Amino acid sequence: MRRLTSGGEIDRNRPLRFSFDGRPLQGFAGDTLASALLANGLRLVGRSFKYHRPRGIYAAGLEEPNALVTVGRGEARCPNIQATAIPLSEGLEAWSQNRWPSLGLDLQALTGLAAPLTSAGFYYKTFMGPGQGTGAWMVYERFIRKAAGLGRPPKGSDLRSAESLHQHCQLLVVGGGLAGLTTALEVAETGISVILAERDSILGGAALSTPHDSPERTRRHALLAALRDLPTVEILTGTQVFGAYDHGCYAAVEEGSRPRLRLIRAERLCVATGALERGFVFPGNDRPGVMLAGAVRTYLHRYGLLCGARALVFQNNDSGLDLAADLAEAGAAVTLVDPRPDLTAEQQARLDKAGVDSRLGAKVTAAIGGRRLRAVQLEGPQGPDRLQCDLLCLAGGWSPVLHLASQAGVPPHWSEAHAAFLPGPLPPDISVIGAAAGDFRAMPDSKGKPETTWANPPLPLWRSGEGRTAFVDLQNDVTAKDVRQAHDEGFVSVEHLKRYTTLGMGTDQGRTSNVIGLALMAEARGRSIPATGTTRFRPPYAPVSLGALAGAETGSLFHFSRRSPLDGLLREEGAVMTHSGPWLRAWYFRENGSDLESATCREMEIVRQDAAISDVSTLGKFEIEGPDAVTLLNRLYCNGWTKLAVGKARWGVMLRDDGYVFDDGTTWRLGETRYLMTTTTAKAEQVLSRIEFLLATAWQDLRVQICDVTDHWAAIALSGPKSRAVLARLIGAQQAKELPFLGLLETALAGVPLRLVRVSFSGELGFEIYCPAHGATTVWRALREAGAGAYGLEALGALRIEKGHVSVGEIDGRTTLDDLGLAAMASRRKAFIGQVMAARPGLNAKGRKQLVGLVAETPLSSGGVLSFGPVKGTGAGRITAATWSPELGCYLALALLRDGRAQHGREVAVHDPARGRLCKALVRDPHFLDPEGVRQRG
Amino acid sequence: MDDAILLIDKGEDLQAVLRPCRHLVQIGFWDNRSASAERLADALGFTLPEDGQQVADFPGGWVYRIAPSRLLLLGSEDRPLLPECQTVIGQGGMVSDISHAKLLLDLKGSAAVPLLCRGITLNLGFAGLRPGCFAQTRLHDASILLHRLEEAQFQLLIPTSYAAAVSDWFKDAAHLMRY
Amino acid sequence: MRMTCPWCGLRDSDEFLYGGDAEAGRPSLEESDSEAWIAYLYERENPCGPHREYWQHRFGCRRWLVVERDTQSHEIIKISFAEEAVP
Repeated sequence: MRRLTSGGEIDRNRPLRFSFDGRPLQGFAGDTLASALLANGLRLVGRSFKYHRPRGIYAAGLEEPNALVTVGRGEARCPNIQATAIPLSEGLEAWSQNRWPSLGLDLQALTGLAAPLTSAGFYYKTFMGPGQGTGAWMVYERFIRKAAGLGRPPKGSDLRSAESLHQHCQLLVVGGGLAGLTTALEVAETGISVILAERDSILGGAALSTPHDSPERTRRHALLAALRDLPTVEILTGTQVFGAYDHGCYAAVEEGSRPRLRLIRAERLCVATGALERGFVFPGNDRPGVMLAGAVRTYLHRYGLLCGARALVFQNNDSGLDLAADLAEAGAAVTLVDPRPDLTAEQQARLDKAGVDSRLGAKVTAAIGGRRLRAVQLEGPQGPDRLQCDLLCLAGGWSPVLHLASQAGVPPHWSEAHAAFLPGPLPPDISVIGAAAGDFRAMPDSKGKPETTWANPPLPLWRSGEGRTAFVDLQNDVTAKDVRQAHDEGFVSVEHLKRYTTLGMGTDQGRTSNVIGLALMAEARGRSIPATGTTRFRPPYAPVSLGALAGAETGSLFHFSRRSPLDGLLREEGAVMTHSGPWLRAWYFRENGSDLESATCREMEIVRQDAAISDVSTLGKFEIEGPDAVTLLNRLYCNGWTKLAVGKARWGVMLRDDGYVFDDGTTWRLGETRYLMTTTTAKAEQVLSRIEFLLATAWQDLRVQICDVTDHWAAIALSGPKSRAVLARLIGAQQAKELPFLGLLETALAGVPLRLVRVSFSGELGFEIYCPAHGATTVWRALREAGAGAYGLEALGALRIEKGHVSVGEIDGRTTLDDLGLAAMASRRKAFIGQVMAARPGLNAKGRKQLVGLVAETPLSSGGVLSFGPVKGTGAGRITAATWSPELGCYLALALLRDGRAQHGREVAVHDPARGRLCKALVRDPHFLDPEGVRQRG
Repeated sequence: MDDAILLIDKGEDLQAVLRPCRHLVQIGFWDNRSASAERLADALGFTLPEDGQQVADFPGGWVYRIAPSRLLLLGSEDRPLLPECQTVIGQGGMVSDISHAKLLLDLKGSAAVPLLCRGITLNLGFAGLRPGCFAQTRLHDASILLHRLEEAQFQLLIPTSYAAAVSDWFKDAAHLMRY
Repeated sequence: MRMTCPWCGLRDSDEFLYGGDAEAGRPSLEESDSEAWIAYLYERENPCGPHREYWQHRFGCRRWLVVERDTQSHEIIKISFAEEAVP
């Protein structure tokens, strides 16, 4: 193995330092980690998944099954990357995987000696079989996970700064080989917008694996020059298109230190992804030094690297000929082995000229060596033979890369002539060209006609030798015997074969092994390959890091929080914020370092004894207007709206179609045909969508419009026995005094228009003050200066528990009006949504859980399970909301309890298994405080 | 909230300013084809747009037909749109003042399109949204209206409650683009 | 998945909100027979092939749409405003 003094796409004037397992090494700009490792003479780069066999670099691209490494160290490390897919960079640190204590001496390789015991289905049979139960698996799993498997993932967050982009084009060409470049040029020249994406860091595909003076190279140069100045084409290198999704959506990723995800919408797709080479199955075919022929040619011409001094090329088609000649011309001693009896005269002349020895009608039956290849065993017309060599190049035929086309719904069709799957019938917006379409000519054109005549047809040959170490899937250590065993045990379908043996799993997804495995299964079944079947490919084509998928939207950008117009001011006043649905809300106000509990108690006391304000701008607010507005409300709410006067508000409850409670809120009549509906913070969006749905479908006859004004209006709740006095300082004593319960008032404060309604959520005398968003801070400050304290979401929730008002905890989609004690709300004089289904027997049966209050001397918490005896199943009920009541000096909870209204006065056991608590509570009416409503009526 | 906030200032490359809407009025008509809509168009002096892409303008404002039966009028100067609309529409539809429900984000510069492409799925390139057109779409969780004034100049209507999150997103995206 | 809103044009599916099966006919509000409501709420065909669904262009014009979609191929056959599709 040596680096040539000239040639290739590497820059010998730009050496790069890197390390492998801590050993300092050097490569050149333009190298991949794989080519740099080879150039440093490293044959052995990894240990196999199951048997810890020594493995070397096998391929030059994404089909590489062996050379999986971890890049980077510590939390920045990324495991299981193919060395062939990593462009070399200065300072790169790479580590081999799955070895202990070191790559050279791996004690776990002893498992290889026990290989006959650990064949296909080993885990299932040994640990999960009858008599074992899952207990055995749980015991052994951690040892097995340690011994088998790949690299270790980092546990911290991905520290790279990732980004994502949305793109559009008329044609997306995937693959920057000659076929893709030709098509991109032809189409872009007609004025159509084209994106061409190539996984590799440079364009040219297979042309890069040809000598520097080849016609392919000349054509590549011409295409690149023509594309360079074309404004209609965007060329993306280092970009892997990994997924095809419905309706022309494609996902592509650039990994590396700055991952970039591109979501591309294209009118048409052109698949020019080329073909991948296969090897042969024979014992020892995994020895370091056994490589794919095309890869050896790539290392020779692209990286200026001669991979062996004594090379043997084993082919069953013509694609190894160029390599044999090129290797010989580069100075290697080369033997060509071909099971076909003859070559054409032209082919023979080429080999003779280059000085290649050829063995026709022969095949390789075994590779011999340990940590490196030493010789091969041949079987030919003259009988068995043994040849010394340090490089064995396998040319077992080509598999078109159909993954993307398959994801897009194109079925693969087996072609006997190509010994490969070719794309089946194509939809009008997808084309497949070049080697991906079976056009294996060196110089494909955009028409993509598959080759049908061959000078010397390929010979279907999958397995050339028998033995225990004849591998089909190198990455998963699946042997020909495993495939045979899967068959013998009845796992004959392709999907079962994959799951039983793990053939085709892992980071390479069986790119070099799927077709061979399928051929061996077909052989075992005595059926043809197409009759045996193939799997449909799913995204992603290649591994994508989670960090790249997450993009830039992490941390605070992961979810866009809605903020009240008071957000900044509340924080200035010491508010600690919390998430509430899509909103950030003031949770409690920190005063003198107070914590949640002490702050909440203080805020509750102010509301009960004085006056305080809370930001309720998050309530859903919808203006509704039209001649049929009242009809709409009558249908939506279970209670009636016909008699609501202009200038008054009413509390309403909506049901769902299925009869359960949907939402509640006050709605105001602003004018003759104009209303303002308010909803809970949680259901605002759903209520709006639902109303729009009904108006667009069942209720098209209603002349009514709805407008979302949630963000236009800020809202402040003012509560407490002294709230009228506070309000009087803002709008005058007369107006404050005259506003009746549920009455509306439109006025102004310092130029800010105000809408007031007298309502109460806390049970105290209360008002809600609405103003346009940009005036909210003015109004809040005025209220504070007028003597109001401030309270947050925690106190708001606790106050309503004391009052026994239902909220999201109780309106959870499982409760009816009657469950919540609201049956009297429902009108009998009109039809409304949910009316019929609410009358279902099941929703009115005895034994339903009904809203009750609980009083206890020890803490209660929501989720607590209620029972009158030992807990059976889910118990007799559950706590939906709980708090400490400073007013009453005890712990309170709202709960849903079986036949709860009949249990008032009883003692119930409250189980809180999560906190390991068990206590007793008294069941009673949920209106703990002022059940007659004297306070709120002021 | 009368002041404009300069979110990003990178000269010719990128500028983003967040400011309140002077006048923003949403009008809903009882029907998709409404005589009231035509009356309003005559009164204010615009041509009623036929679709949800073209922006119509009148002296001192723009008109977006945000749905077949809904118009959004954005007044760019001191022309009190609300009373004018209420007078013309009368009982022929619903007129709602939503001036405080949205903030305007002015975005311009050669990096405007690449920046928007980081969050908006619309086609802003070849055969995509043209100058003089608008689109309603989403930026993550926020519903936005994107009006392309010139090739590299946009104005966005952002829900007031999402303005802080959207501003953070713009600043982060600009930062990722190394601005 | 992408869908063409009749008002706004071709958009990604994440601008739309799924709103359920559009094949089931909604009983009139006056319908007092619970069987009719049970059929509307719970009985579904789950066809392999063309199927009509409600979607709202939630982040666009907010119109409710009826989308006819092939459940097997995911092909979108037709999209119309719900007002026009519901008799």
